[in-house]
Amino acid sequence: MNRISALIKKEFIHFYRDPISVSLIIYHFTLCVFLCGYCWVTDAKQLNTIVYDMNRSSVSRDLIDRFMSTEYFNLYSYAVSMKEVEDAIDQASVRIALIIPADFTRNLKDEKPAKIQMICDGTDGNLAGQALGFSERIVASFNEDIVIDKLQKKGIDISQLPGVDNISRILYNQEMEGVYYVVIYHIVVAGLIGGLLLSSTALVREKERGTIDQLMVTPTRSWELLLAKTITPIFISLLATVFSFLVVFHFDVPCRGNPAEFFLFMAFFLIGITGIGICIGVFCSNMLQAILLSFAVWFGGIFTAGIVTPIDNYVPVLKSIAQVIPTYHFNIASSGIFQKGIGISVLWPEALKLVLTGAGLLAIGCIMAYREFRQ
Amino acid sequence: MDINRIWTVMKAEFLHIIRDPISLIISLVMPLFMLFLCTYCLSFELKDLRIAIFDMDKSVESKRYIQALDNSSCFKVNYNLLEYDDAFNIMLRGKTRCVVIIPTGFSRDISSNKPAKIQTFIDGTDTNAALNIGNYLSSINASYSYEIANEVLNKQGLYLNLQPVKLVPRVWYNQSLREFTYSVTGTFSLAILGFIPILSALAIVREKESGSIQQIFASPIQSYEYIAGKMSPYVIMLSLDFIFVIIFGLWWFKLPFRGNFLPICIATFFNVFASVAIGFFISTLTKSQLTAMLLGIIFTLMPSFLFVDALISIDTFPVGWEAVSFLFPGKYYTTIIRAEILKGTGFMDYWKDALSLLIYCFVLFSICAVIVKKKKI
Repeated sequence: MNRISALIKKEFIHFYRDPISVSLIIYHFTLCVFLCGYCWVTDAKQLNTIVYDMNRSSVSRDLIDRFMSTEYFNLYSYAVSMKEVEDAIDQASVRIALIIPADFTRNLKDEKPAKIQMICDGTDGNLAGQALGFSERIVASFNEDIVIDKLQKKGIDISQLPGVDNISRILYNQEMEGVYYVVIYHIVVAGLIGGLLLSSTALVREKERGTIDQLMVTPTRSWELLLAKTITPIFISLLATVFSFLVVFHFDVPCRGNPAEFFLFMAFFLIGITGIGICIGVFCSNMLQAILLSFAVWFGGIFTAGIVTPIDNYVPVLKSIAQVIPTYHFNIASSGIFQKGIGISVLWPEALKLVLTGAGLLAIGCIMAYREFRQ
Repeated sequence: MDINRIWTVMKAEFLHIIRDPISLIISLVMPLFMLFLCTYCLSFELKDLRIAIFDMDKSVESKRYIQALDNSSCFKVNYNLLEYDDAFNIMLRGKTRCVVIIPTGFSRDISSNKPAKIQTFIDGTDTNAALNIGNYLSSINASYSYEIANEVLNKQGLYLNLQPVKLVPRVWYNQSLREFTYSVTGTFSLAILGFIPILSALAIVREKESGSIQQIFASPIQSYEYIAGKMSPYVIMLSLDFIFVIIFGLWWFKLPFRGNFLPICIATFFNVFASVAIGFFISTLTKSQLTAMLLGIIFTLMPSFLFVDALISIDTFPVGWEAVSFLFPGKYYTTIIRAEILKGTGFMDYWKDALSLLIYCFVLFSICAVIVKKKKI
């Protein structure tokens, strides 16, 4: 027991004597989350729109108003020619163009389909897709008003027609504040890189300096050394998570669940991550390799975990990969605790999966490290 | 300028690089790895999203409505709930992001020509997905309503156009609205700025640590020759690597290619040059390899995600943050390759970005040479 506590103490001294690790960890847990909270919000809002209204009637103006009164579109300018529209999109000064042809009102009167055209800059498929979705909603409600009007003239009340009346409710984040989720998952992302970097560099540092041989000749056992190398990164990352809560306060992200449970899940999550970190540490022989490989694993961990994209979108192989990656379960748990206000009583399957995959990964890491020590 | 001297420095640096084959392999393979990850796993459109249904009505009409939901490309009815409370349980566990509840009386309302109420719950934790779900649902509901209303009107002998205004969307540069095109082109730029500076940041600082830089100062070599010689192995190897990655990406993801290939190669060369130069700049300022790596990670790896217009459009940033992106060469590069690959517009559309990239390379190269010349190391 004495030996283990001495080893853990040694690891802590290594950490705080190394300004690089300290600043990297603080950077990832605070500044990085902060930057992403400001910039990584992908909701389509106030998209610049150019309008080419060839019809110039009260009906077309009403339709344009309906577009521009939403928060999604922002009137950039009125065009007077098609050339102007094309140039504006080519130079990327607008993303959306709304074109109302000259025969718009005549077609409406003649009961012919009155077409209006919308041109989207499709380079950013996400924004274009959202813009199309919103415009379809706007046009649908415009249509509804026209149809109700027409039916009334024919003496039919709209309530005499069947239809679906959907009462939609957003749960958990009623105000639809995009930054909440961004901040929360960036803490997950920070935990991932923190655990990987700390555990892989702790091992590589000893290899680079040759101190691992000195440790081998002391009475410490390999498992004691590995235990110290596992506990310290977990503890430091948990400590750094406390700093992340500064960003949480800055963006006023509500924590509806129990923050202590979030830390518990973070600890479960870090078990597996430290395991992967030890594998990296065994494989690499210098710091550069360890850092590059940690970041490579980090990318994989973020993108295959359904953080940014729901895993339903993935190809089947990736869906099953996501199941064994701790990040996936931790992400569900963290947004559950923060936004849905649930705790371990609901999330116990996630906790179990985190602990099981974590134990597996840590076992692999330790076996690899153990074999290397033997040599 | 003496080519021989540059050549000698180049050979020495090349030996340094291949002496650490693992780092070299990671850096060369990394772009491909990122390309696959970003394109296969990063998409904001919804496909086959698992939704849950609580059908209290269990009638022909409600079955027809569920069928309409299931047939759409974005939803897949995965859970049939038996109790109301399950709707919340299943959402809490994150098994689904949308629950549709069809109350009893759905079929009665429809057959007696009344609007039938349904309720949906949408998980708002991820707002992007929630907005998309809302949009898809409302368009499915609208077309379903038109369909059944039209049937009733037709029976009464009334033929009315229920969709008088029709929106004809046209998506430019990306007809099928595949996000592939966006993320593939973005990843090229992301991978260049993300990893090259960390690698090249070690070049000069390595000599500082071992003290061999003093020998350089004592030799007749000029500072710009020294920088040029040290940079060239990185620039040559990595530009070739990235040109290969671009060709591979265009072929594998079957991207429409509308422009010329030569401008892309030239732009890639200069962007790699600029990224290597960022690393060298860091290298001239720092005293140890670890600090250099740290600064590389902080100033290039993380910002490359945000500020090169790769995965997030810069114009959605809050005011002021846009300006930060001008500090990164990736922003100019992204504009150039998107213009060439997706838009096929000519040089006149992006000459400003091309010029900025050139100036960027020149300025950074000169700064590095000046710092080395002053021996402020």
